[in-house]
Amino acid sequence: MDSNNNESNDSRRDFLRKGFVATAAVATGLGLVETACKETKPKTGDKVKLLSPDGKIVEVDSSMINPAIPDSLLSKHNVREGVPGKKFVMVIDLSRCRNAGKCKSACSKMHYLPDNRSYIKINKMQDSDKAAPYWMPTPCFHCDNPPCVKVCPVGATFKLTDGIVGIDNERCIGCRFCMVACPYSARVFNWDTEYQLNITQMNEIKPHAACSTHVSGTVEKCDFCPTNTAKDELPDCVQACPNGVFYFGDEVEDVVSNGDETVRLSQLLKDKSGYRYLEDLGTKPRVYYLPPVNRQFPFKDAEVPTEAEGQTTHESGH
Amino acid sequence: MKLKHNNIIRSLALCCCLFVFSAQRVSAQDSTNAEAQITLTFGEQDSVKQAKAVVTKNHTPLKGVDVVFLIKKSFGSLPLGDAVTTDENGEAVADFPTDMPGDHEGNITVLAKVEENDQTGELLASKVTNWGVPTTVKDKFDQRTLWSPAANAPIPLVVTVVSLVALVWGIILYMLSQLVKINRLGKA
Amino acid sequence: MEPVKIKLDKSNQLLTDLMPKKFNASGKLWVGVLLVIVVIGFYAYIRQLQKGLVVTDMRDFTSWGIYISNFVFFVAISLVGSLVSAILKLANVRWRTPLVRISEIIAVAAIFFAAIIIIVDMGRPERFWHLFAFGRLQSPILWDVIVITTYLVVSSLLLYIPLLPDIAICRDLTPASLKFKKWFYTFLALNWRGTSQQYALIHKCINVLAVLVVPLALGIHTVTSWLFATTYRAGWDSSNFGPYFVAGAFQAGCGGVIAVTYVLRNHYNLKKYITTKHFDNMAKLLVLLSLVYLYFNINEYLVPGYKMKTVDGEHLKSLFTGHYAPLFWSVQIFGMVVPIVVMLFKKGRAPLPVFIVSLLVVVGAWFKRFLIVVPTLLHPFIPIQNVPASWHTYMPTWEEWAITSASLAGALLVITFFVRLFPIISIWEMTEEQQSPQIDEQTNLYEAQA
Ligand code: SF4
Ligand code: SF4
Repeated sequence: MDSNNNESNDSRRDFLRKGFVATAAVATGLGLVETACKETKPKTGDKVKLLSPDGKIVEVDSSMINPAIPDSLLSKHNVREGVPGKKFVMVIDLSRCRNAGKCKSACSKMHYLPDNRSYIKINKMQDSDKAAPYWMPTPCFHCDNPPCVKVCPVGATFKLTDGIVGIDNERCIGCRFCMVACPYSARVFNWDTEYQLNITQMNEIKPHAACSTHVSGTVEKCDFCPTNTAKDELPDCVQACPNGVFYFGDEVEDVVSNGDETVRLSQLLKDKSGYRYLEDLGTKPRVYYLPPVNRQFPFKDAEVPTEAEGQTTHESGH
Repeated sequence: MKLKHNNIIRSLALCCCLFVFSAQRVSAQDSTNAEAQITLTFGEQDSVKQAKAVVTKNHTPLKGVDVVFLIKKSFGSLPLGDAVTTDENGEAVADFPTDMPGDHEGNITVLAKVEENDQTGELLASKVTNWGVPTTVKDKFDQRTLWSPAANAPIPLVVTVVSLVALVWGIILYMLSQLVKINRLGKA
Repeated sequence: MEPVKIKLDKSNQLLTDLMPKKFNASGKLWVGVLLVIVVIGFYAYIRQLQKGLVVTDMRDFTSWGIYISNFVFFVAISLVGSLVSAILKLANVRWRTPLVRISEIIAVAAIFFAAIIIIVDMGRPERFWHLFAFGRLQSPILWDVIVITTYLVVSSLLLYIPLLPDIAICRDLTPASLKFKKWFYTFLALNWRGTSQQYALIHKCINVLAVLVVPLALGIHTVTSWLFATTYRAGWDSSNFGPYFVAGAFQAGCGGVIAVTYVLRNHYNLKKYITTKHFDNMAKLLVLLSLVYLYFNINEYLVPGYKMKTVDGEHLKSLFTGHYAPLFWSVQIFGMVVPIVVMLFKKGRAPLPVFIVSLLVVVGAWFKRFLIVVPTLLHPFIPIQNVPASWHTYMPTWEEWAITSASLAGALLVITFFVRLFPIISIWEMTEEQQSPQIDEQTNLYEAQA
């Protein structure tokens, strides 16, 4: 069934091919590649812009970008295939969150999201009038009984073997049923045509080889950064958080890490009474929360008044 | 085909470069602290599994060095408790948990690490043991569930929908055949 | 049974009264206005295709807007076909005969535009074929696609098959000089000669279809309600939604058929065939259906309102006393309570009051669907925050209004052109009824003919 999309697959593969080499080139140090390629390939003089891991745009000669990569390596980026043998989980420690917003900005940068769109939302929550408010970041929970996947009429959103709920933007018909089915408002829609990226643009700025190209009229959401996790790197939000709020790991290994600390998942959830948001809905999220007790920061409301406008709070339901 | 070969050769060459490069770095580091060494062994005492690290300098045991035992995992290394200080035999021992998941054969990579210090510099030993609990990934992916792909729709659902559609469209087709019949009757 | 004999000459009063007539001035104006609305809607849709759904006011939270509520409205209205042509038939209600075709064409037009409006709502309409290539049976949308397609086909058959003898009349009365018209009717009439065998066949077909269409009608609206009820959202998460929607649909459809009937009766002077007694009966039916719907409404709002669960409570507050209160109470009062009260009185069941009340019911039904779809989406579990202020509310843009109006105008156009081409009251069934000896005093509603 999947092969019906041959044409788009090809173009996708083509740019992934380029994207993959580009990433590899930057990662291994450009000098090395240049040495390796010197004899075999004349310089073309065309410059290609690449994003280096520390976020700088670097220009390299297009001859350094090798367009041919063994297909075995590329299969990693198939949107319908997870990282084999893994079951990704996330734990979010609410006692450490002070709405620094770094997760959100790192995510938006790496996924090339416009200003008014965000995969992660940092919500002000208050369980009851007397309880102190707290910040709750919500990515997609990658539910194990995902209502969004259940309702999709065309299988454009699906569960991967590594637990991630993926989206095929070439398949999605834009009915938005998954958006209303998701109880956590995790999904965002490409309402306009403005931010859709084409393959060339993606090649130039593409930070994330597997990220959505913001295909107009289709839905998207947090993807747990499959390009990172395939390389045993933490998702961007986890790396970016200055307070170590996000733990990420593999449920099979029973270990999660926030970059500084690496702990047993089961132990962490036991010790700190981990819970899942709206557990009684039965969606079985793969994202756990640690309650906002023994806070590291006093709660401060968001500085931007426009953002707080019209905010309502109610029980978070745990 | 030829292109592919070229690429493989090129990647191989690249790997070699990297290898030489990293090998050089390792030996350079070794030369500054050539005398200090760490070795990691596994053993069992009173049926408790233990990882043992021995730190030596010029082949004599070193006392009072802090050793951290870690288990290598995808996104970081999990410490096995706090750092252990070596005794007069240069030995540091850590109990190994019985419920640590390994790979599908139960293999686990254990690291013994000494942080950078004056006496030894940074030391690291790693070794694989099969003490882990073998893990098999349990998937519901071949099951028929409501969230499965189209091909894995639950059988009762498929049967219900298909039979209802067949029934109703059967009647519709029958109606159409009646229209054909009306048409024919008119011709006669 | 003897086949119906229809005299094809001037002496047959039925023909003079019921044969389709050319548009007069007001008819032309009506068609013109509708066409203009459709053209504006087309223009708006082209803009939407070019710029994406950003031309609407739907955003990540209100991800469904008036397109979807309009879709639900169309599906609701379309249920009337099955009500009049099937349920009343099975219940052996004889006065329904002149209303059957009106309700059936309303049903076909409405369900057709329901399908169109759902394509308008899609972010990628050109990928519609994915539904057939990659369709997942687990998704209620797929069930809806299947059942709506089926209902469209069955309703069309239920419109077309009883139309055959009348098409034949049109064919026979069309002079040979009007070549295209003659060909058109000849083509559609399927060699209808009015033999007893042919009559036997269409009677059989109508009976089968009348039985078939009832579960289908319940099906389309129940499945449509499941688009909402299968989610966790406040106000939708209800096991009652199927019957609630079906009850609402019958009420709206009944209102719709009364309104259209009134207009046709006055415009084409059909008072002889559609009598005050018809309005009286339909009004009684509408009261009954409104009462049933009122019951479901009380059930649907009182029970969660009693508990006031957190998010449910906020949603209900916005309806009862908050932002949507004026609309909510207008709809409940004018779309339900007022009609019931007015039509309880004999005077309220005269044609004009019934017509006005039916319009109230239909307009109320449209806004009711809006109130079902939109406020719920504005009350997700995690309160809406950190988004532009305009995302906290939903006010359809002109493009949305234009496209929605165009779909409504389109449905009316379909009905209008149908009336222009075919007899809107079944000539052969009326003849049959007049010739039938079993009509007793009570069911004979037709005034004595000259
Ligand atoms: S959080 Fe929402 S979008 Fe993500 S898997 Fe769960 S239901 Fe789907
Ligand atoms: S919007 Fe796309 S992903 Fe979501 S349910 Fe519709 S087709 Fe599936």
